[in-house]
Amino acid sequence: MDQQVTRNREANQVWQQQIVCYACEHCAYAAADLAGTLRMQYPPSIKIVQLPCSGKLDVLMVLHAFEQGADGVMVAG
Amino acid sequence: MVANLSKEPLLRENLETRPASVLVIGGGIGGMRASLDLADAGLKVHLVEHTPCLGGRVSQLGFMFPQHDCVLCRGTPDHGYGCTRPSISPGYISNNQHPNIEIHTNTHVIDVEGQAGDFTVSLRTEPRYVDPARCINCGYCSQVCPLELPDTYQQGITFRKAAYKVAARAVPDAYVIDRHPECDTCGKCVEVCPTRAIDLYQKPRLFSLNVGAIILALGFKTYDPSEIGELGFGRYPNVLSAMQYERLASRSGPTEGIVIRPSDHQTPRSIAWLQCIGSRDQKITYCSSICCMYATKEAMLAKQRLGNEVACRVFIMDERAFNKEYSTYFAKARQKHGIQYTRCRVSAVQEDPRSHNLILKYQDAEGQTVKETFEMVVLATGLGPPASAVELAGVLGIELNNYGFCKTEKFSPLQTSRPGVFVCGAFSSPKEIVETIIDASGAAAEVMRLLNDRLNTYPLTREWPFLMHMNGEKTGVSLPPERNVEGQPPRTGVYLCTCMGELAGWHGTDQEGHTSGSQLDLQGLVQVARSSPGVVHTEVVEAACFPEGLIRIQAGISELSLNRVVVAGCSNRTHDSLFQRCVRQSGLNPYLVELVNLRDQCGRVHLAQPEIANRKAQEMLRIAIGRVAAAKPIHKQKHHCRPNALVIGGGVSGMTSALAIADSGYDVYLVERSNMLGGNLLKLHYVAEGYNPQLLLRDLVNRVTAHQRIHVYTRTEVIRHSGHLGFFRAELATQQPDGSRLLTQLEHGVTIVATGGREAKQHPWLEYPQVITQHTLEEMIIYQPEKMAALKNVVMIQCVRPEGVPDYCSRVCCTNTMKNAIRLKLYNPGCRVTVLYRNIVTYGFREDYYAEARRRGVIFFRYTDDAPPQLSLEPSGKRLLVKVYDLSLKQWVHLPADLVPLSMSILPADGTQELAEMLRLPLSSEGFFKEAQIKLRPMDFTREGIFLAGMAHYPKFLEESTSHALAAAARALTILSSRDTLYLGGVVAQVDPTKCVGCLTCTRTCPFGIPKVVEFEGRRGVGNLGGAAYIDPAECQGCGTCTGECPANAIQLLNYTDEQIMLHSIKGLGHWLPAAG
Repeated sequence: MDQQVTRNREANQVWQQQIVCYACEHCAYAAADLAGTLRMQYPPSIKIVQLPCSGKLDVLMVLHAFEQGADGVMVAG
Repeated sequence: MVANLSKEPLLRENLETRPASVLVIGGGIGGMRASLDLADAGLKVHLVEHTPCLGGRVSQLGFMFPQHDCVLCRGTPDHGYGCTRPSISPGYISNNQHPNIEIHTNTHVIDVEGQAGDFTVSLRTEPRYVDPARCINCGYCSQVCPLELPDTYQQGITFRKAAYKVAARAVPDAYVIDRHPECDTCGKCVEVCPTRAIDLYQKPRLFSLNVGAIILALGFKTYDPSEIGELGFGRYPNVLSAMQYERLASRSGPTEGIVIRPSDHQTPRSIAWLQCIGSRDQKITYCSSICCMYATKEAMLAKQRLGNEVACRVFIMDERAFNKEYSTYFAKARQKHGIQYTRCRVSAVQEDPRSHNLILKYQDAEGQTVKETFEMVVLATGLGPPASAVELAGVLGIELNNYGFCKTEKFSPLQTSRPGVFVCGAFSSPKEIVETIIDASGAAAEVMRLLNDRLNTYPLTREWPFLMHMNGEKTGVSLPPERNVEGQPPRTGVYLCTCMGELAGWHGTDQEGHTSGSQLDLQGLVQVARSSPGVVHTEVVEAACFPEGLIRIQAGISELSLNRVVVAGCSNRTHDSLFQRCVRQSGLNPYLVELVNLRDQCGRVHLAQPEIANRKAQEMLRIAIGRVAAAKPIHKQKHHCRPNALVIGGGVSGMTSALAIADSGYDVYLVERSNMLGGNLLKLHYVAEGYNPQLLLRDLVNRVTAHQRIHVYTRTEVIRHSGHLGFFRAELATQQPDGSRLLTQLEHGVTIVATGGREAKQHPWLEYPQVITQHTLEEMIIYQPEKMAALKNVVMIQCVRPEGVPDYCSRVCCTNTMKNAIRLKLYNPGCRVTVLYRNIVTYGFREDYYAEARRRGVIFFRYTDDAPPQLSLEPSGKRLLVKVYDLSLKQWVHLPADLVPLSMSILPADGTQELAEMLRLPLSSEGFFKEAQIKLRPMDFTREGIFLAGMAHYPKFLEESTSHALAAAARALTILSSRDTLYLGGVVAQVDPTKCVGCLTCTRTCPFGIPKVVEFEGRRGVGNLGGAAYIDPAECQGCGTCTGECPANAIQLLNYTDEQIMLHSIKGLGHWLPAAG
């Protein structure tokens, strides 16, 4: 895991934290789309995973994200 | 018999030539709601809007009272089009648009001929100059356009180009050109458009439609405050109209939701709201009904956004918070947010010319004249009839009332003076969103009743409505049989869309010199796709969403026998349906396609970091390829909808609902607890408007009892109720004359709850013989007029509630009081009638009765909860003495009274609690039934297939109950009309019974109360528990909450299985490594 993160940093030169965002498809995901339509800028290190409802979020999903190298998890809905 | 036979073919021929379509004029929230209900009932709808996009006023509002949410998450395409928020409403979203609705924007009605059931309408469409079908929203036209104009969507606060998009999420989702003479010599937009969608020489189009009925949803016009010069609107920069403030406070507004002063762009530290601008005055006498609430909302937004230290003062006449949860909202504004309310009408605004601060002079609670400076003043402008009212009334041949609104009758609130033309929303009187929604569905029910022989002429493919073409063909669609892909290894085809060069280009080349588009590296993406497992075909398409692109995908599926498809380009939110339809037409299940949202969630938002954005794009593509490999086909289950309805409650609402459903051709079981139909209407003898409600009662009862499709059960209660939408079971118990109970079993498709309300009768004051309720007074006025004419002193007390009843406005009492007070004054002008009130809530045109009561000499005395009136017996013992605290004199006043009528709270009907438990429905804080959503779904429950009508929802006037009952009937009819093609299920949660330990976590966490632990078909749970959780796919709403909570991980949500989310989406992160290649 550590090795992975280090490689990550090297690749990016300037280290950027990896954020996984779990977004409700009806509101937060739609809001992210709106940001796109309006061309509002944010760091590319945020990855959005669509959920049918933020209630769908499972603790395991959060842990899994960290396990796979995420630095932060954001739930939006 | 012979004669009948010869007539039949003739009749059928007639039916087929008569139009099964409806014209809805006005594309605001009312028109949109009515269109959806009509379309769901199998009628074709032509939705006409005179501006370039749908949405109307609501699209300009950032927040709705009282919940401050925009409620965009409340509906999903599969679940009843619950959300009618314009820009994101699933029923209107591009590519997912309802197949039975045709939208005509920029269009005016110029002529209407014919009669109810068969109108010919002539229309004129002004040119848009942009072809919405080819516009890809790149925005280049707007960038190059040199002409700047005031932005009307932003209330003129900012400027926009002549080539523009009305709002970021406009429907239709396309740009429009506001053509000016300058455009003749410019034409830059035409040159730059990558899809050649612009034609500056487009001509207006004249066309005609044959429709069976017309619904008017014209909305309203806000009052122009510059008509009152003293207020300084237009002269002083910091005096704003309420709509301007709404735009400033909206996230999509010019300041992204930060309220600033136009004069110096600083946030104001004090704001005043002036109420009743253009309402309740000499010229415009009616009340605009919504301003008290929206001003409170705006003040709360100021506190929430700008900080609690902002001083907010609302200058108000009466607090008119007359709907569900609104009283609580006012209390919260006062107590939690510290918003000040001052009872005063400010007539003039002065400005300090240096600071542009505004000075208001007013009388405070102590009666002192105070001069206070505010940094901003918001004028709570009222509602007037729409600008097009007079012209359209002429074209349509309908009458307008004295105020310029559409004329309607109390007993038929949705019918205009021309048969076959119906009205909804603020065009008939000032109304808020929830009333508009009720009216809209109600008007749809009126149309369904009128066109009952034509329902289902355009049936939906109800399994997946989005699979249907939008061309409105009568026959529906013929899709090829679905290919069975089970057990096959994935053969994935990846289609990379360049969005006409806007999204992605070949690395290092710059297409046509566009600078603003994101330039993702196509080469890299192609390599990632080719090297990913299961991918057998990779192709770059210019625009996947254009017919040319769709054909490529379909060719791939058939020629290369692909069984999975990934399309990288647009958002799945807007384009899922399009590509699902595309793959299904080639025989693939619609859930075997995956979209990669490169445009809105990668390319456009990381312009400054192209390197990392490229890697993110590759990452997203890999995730999608992994996810689609794990995807499984999803099907819905076909059900037979029982073609009948159960209506609980035989009052005006129940009878109205029953008639609307029965007239449309479905059987109704109408259940009434008492021994006769009528409910509260039995005791209503006259109304303020002067109509005779007993005539309505007789008419309704006669029609209900004579109707061959309505089965009336009086002295009957529902004692058992189970099942789901389309198939409910109920047991009725009828009280027999001999005291026994007769049980009846029913099967029905939908249930309507119309159990009504009742006037409270418990209060210590009622023990005095001189104290009665307003209801009793009404009966005495009718039955003992001589006695009433002899009265000398009458003191009426408003807002009396029994102990333990929450404080809410019962809505109808003030108007009832006016009605009775006026009648007493008519009987005996010498009688001294005093009304003690907290707020007079005579909203809408009812304000006129308040004015009439004052003109006739009725005295109004305001009291507050700090010093409520007190009652005692005079020493003589004959008369009562009412003590009331005079707020201006600051002392107690004694009023003698021969009679003291009380306006008691209106409570939900007895047994509401028990019924709610039986039907598994929630109740609101006031004890009434709680609807699915307070603003947008007032006649639905979260439990589908059950609807709400009338006073069971909240106290209502007769006309409001009628509208609500019709609305519930319309919603019920959309389900009943699906007949044998009711599809339920789809993306739902499934329990693996071999993993379930029966811990009941899912039953507790489900927001809809659907999971049950049961034993059947061998579902015994872990270790033969004797039962496992079961989630009925017909009921599940697909939120997935249970799957997240299940400790045994026994529940999976289809299309979001762990396999799809955990292994691929998240594991993908592990590959966040140097770019491939």
